[in-house]
Amino acid sequence: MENVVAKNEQINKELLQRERKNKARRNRLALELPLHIMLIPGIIVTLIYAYGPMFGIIMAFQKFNPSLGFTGSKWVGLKNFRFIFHLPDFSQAFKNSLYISLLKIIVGLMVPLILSLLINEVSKNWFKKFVQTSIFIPYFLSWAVLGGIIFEIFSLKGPVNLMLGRIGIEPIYFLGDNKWFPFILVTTDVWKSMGYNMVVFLAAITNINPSLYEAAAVDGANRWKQTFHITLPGMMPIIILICTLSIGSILNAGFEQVLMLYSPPVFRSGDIIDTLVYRLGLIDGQLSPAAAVGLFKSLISLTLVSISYYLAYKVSDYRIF
Amino acid sequence: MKKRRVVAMIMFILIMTSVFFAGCKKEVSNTPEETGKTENQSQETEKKAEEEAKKDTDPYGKYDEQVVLTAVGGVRPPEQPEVPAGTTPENQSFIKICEDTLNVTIEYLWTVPDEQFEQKFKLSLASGDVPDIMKVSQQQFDELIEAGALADLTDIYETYAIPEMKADYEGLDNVPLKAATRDGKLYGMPYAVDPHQEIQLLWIRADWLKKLNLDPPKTIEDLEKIAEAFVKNDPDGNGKDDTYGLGIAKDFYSGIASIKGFAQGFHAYPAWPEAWIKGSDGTLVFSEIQPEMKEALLGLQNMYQKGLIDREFATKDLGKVVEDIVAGKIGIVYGEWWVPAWPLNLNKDNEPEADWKCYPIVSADDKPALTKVNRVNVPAYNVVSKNCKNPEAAMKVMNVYWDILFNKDPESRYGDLVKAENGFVNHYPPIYNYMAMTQENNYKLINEALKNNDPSTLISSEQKNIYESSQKYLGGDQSGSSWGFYFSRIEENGGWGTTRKVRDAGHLMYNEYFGPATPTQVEKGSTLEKMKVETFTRIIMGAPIEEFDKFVTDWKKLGGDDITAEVNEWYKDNKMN
Repeated sequence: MENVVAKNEQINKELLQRERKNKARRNRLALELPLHIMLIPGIIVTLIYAYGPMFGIIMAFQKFNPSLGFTGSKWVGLKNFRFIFHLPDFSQAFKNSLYISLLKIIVGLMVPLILSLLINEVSKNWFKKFVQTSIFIPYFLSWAVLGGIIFEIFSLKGPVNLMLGRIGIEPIYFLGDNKWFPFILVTTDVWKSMGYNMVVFLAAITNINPSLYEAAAVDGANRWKQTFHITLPGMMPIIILICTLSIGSILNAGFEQVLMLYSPPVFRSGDIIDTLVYRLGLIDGQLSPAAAVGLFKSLISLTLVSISYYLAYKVSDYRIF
Repeated sequence: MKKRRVVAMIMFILIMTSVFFAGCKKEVSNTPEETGKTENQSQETEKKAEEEAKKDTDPYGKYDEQVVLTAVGGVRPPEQPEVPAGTTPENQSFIKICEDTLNVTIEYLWTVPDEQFEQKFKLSLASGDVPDIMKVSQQQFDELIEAGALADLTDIYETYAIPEMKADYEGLDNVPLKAATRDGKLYGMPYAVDPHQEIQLLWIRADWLKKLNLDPPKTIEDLEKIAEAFVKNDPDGNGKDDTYGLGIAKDFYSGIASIKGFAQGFHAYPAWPEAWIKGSDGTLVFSEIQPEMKEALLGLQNMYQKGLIDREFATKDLGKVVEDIVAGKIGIVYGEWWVPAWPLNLNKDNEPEADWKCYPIVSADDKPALTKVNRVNVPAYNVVSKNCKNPEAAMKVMNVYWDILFNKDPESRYGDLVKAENGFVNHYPPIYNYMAMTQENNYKLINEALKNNDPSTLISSEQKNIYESSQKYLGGDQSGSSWGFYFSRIEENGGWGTTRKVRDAGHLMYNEYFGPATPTQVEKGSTLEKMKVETFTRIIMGAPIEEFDKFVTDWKKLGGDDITAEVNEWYKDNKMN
């Protein structure tokens, strides 16, 4: 009998607990509902613009004809992929894309990192803000505008060659020379976009607990040692995050930039996968092979992102998602 | 408790479905359109039946209910100075004329500056957004036919086209119509041009020649000497080393500032689209892999090394070269007959002393230099979308356009709206046509009229415009525009005058191929083209000439041999002589 009562009590208790849990959950839902609703527009936009176009992948397996549409076009299987892999331009474009964007990723990480560390050491606040803003401004300019400016700056009679001339160096045809062209691509791109990563890094630095620095100072660590033993380790998660994200876009070597700046003499060092797609798809109107290249690129990116995500997790126990 | 879970579940489902449907919104709104299309098609067939019952075959027949034709446009500024500022394709008087006489109106879906047109148009075709009437390039024409997007105009042309237009095509043995026909169906009204218009001429600043005591060139060697003097001896006298010899743009197949005229001096025939000339065995060969091309590239390399060509030509597009011409930095340029009308006139406006003269191209050896011409030249096709409900209305619009431009006294039928000062711009309407023999007719008629001081023999308003501009110029008007009109079209030693001389001397090399792009051309075209342009540019800039031989082997291997076979297959049935 007692046993049964005890059992009943236990059941009641459990029910009560469950009730409480549910109540809490309800309260949370009520609290968070507006937030969930606010998510909806974002989800809609993502669905339309990121998931909707995915149906276009089907083009890569068809001989797509716009007026016949997705349903009417002929299915050709992997023919488009065979076609693009046999294009003589493809391997060149693939190599160039890898090379240019690897350089961009490495330099594009190092420069903002160093900049943010330097700016962090500046004690005058107005100067700090001024430098930060002027570095950030080029980020907002479009390549269409910058293209013309860069042509002028690096032309044979432009300021760069003028300065080189002063120290006795023959004018260099930067934008028409295969030796220099990737270098110009990387430096101009890093110059344009370094402000963004720099701001992210600066934010990461401000997140570091100041008491760590105080403790280090008490222990007799100078500025250098503080930077290496506190600032950099404190920024590590953000550095890894940015690294992982950029590895996903390793085959995006910067379409707009290259399209604005490249020309026949530098095709062999500047032609990238995206410009190849542009010529195939928009100039030649061969939409299907162009879609096939795009799909191929996405597959590589997906693989690389997965690998780098896994490595970031394994090596530094850091999860992005 | 269960109830609450159900409520939560329902809410979740509601949210998700609303998200889902919102996501589908685009597609949902698309489907009625598509069903609308099929409805339209059935309506179209009904309408056609009705119209056939009416037996309305008047080429200028007015509709009872207004017909709307959609169009798109690339805007190039008007050539005539009288056109009021602010005239756009949307408010041009041609639309008003069509509304008044045909009860047809033209609605522009979009307009962009001319340079962006090609790309925007391609994108809009790729997204299936085809306007009712449009003028398209050869490549787009082929693509649209393959896509089945064009209306068959065979019967419409027979029934509705005005006799004057038919007569002009017949004057060219209907070859342009043949080029617009696939499988016996006429898919477009070709805007045909006298093929001799692409004869390359040599344009030199005679005031610089005079200043430096030089004679006009007879050979390529002379030309090089002149170019050298233009670069080194400061012809503009500003004390700065800022002049180039020969003006060449990176896209070097254009009508001006191309490598074509220079290469023709070496009996090589670079061209875009590709030129197929008759080889020694009677079959067609690709002009740009011939040994003469190698010589021409060596010649250009030599010029480049001596600094006679802008060292940065490879990164300068036509627009930049034109800037240099206008700024008076270039003294020699190859171009077709029209270049005084653009851009040399702008240079003259800028520097009134600039005295551009025109010469036949010069040869590197004792053989005369031939210039490449096409057997038939159709720069554009006026086509009608197969979804257009009234394709014959498009034909009527073309009739009116022709009637205004090439028949006598259009004012009597259309009033003052056909005048430039009231907003009539020849190249604004969405269709474009031209009497193929216009330049020749204009040259003869207007010179005659100028001699007799009697403009009454002139037919078209265009001829009257040119007559007036010429009179202004001969009366001492030094504006670049009047000079451009006169020197390009009328002057005996000007653009067309020299073109005629070259034509009558028979210094021509024919491109024998005028068929559609072959399957391999479509597939490998851009790859081969890129390889070609890259190799040629690199050689001009000093790469070893062996790259040319490698290019020839690669070109053949990567599809060129297949294209050659396809082209010759076509040639068997389409020989012109």
